[in-house]
Amino acid sequence: MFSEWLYLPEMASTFLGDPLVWLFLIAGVVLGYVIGVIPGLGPTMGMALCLSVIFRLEYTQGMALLVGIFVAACGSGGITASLINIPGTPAAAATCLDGYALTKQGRGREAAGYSVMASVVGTLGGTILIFLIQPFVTTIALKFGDWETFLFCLFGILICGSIAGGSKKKGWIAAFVGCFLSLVGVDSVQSVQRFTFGNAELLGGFDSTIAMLGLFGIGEVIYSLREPEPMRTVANTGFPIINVKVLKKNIGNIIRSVFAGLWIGFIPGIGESAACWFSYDMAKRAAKGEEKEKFGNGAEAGIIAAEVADNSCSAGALIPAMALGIPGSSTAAIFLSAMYIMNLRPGPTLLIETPGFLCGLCLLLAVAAILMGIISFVLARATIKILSIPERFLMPLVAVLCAVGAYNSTGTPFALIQLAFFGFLGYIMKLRHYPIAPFVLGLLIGPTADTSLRRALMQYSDNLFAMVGRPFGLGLTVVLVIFFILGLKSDRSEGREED
Amino acid sequence: MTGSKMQNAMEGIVVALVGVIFMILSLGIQKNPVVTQGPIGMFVEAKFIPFILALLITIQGARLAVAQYKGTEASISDGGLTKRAMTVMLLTLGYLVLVSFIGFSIPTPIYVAVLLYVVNEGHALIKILAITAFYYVLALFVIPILLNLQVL
Repeated sequence: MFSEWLYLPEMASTFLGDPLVWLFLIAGVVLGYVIGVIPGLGPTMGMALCLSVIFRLEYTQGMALLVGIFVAACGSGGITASLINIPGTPAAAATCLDGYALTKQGRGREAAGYSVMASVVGTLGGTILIFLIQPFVTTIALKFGDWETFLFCLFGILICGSIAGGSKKKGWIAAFVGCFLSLVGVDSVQSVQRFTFGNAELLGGFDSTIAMLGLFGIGEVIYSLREPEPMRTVANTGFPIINVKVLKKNIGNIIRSVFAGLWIGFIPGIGESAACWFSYDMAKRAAKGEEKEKFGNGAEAGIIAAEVADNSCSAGALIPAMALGIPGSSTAAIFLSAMYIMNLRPGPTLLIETPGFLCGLCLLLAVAAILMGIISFVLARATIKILSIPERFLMPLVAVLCAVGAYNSTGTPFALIQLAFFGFLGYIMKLRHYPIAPFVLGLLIGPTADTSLRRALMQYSDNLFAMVGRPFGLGLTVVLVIFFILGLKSDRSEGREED
Repeated sequence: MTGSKMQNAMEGIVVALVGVIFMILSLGIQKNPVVTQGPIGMFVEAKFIPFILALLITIQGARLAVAQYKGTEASISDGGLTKRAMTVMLLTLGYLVLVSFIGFSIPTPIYVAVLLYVVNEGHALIKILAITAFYYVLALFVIPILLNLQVL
């Protein structure tokens, strides 16, 4: 179990000894920084765009590019939130409260500084904890059979309501439709055709890379260009400033936020958007006297709590993704797709089939976090220029890049028809406030849930009690029932409050 | 009053109807070539999970419709189908369909230029043409050459 940690020196030389890995990592961080800073774009779209090119790269280089975008795009959203009061990414929404309040007081450089520093610390903290926890999680995951895998998939779908943010019903509808569409094509148990309508191009089902390019890319292009965008007022700023005294005062806040973010990331489906608010609330409750009153009016602790948790959560969401192949957030879902493209098989056997993978990933995450910190300082002045580029000039390029990416992922013109379908679906979902993350979750875990349930039932067809009575399965069933009852209770109490 | 309530509930009704269509489609899936004997057999069929999912979509759609009818859940939409929204959507989806038939070379500059013209409301023509040329070279030549992608 502990042998995975011993690969660290070997992986350090494999990953960090290759100049091309550095090149792709730096390119990824710069690209991710730009994507994160521009409102409307985000880590999910940035990573989805690069999915179509990573299969041309060595797996170390592909991972470097992906990790660079992932870390920098998640971390830089707070800068935009602090400087112009528009969250660069949805997960940076909580940063707006105190970040922009500080900017209005003429302390924009400090707001950007705390945001960047908290992002770096959050990613590093999350990475260290992943490194320590992952081998244990994987050992437990190895005890999983088809029945337990199905139950875990069910757990992911069950809590889709909570990802929705707004309407739980819409979250579940999105997840179920995603699951349903993932079953198009030939089934993997007995090769029965489902919903192909005699079309040979649908035999392989929908391509998840194209689906994500459509949902997050084309859908966003149409959605953001449908109305004239409001004028942006950009604050004047220079190099970010960090006050060491404030940092010292917030050590407890940082540690608490790292754990809070990691815990939320670990639960499949909740994601960074919830982590930042959860941690912000915890920091506010923990504050006393004058400090408490500063929350909402420019509290450094508020920025730090939100950004640390947001970034730690992004890292934490990779734990279930790697151990069980079930994504903890939409960015983790794209990460999973990328791993499949690079011939890596996420799941309990990942660390056996690809020894040292965890060390390599953690090293890339840590280096990318440090690079992101440096690049944020170097690009501080350019950020203002980046922030002033209107979406109406950027989005046509995003659309063309999505088309190029989709075409290259399968090499057939049908990819573009799929892209148009998912783009339209993504636009309608955004317009009607259906969350896309549960849809993606459903799309990715649908085939696994279907295959594992049917295989488990066939295996235990003569003794179902033996299947249900397996220790891990029994434990998961109890957790599922508790979550289901709690979900029903909260649904009813929400209904009563609305009444 | 009832008319506006029904209008609110339309979204849920549409979702429930989609669920019903999915159910009908699921029932049309062929039987497994190798049949599992006993009561378990039904759950192992290829149509089982799609049917259950379709049923769940129908139930959630109906719940949504009831909640919207009662007014406990609002039917939200970020703006209707305005002329601009329709133009952007048709242009983008039309571009993708066209590219699947005739390739990237001709539709791409036309799409970028027309889209930029529409969203900038006809202003800054020179800028639009310059950006179109830049995006064309960047997306169809520079990036594909750098990443060894097949486009043209």
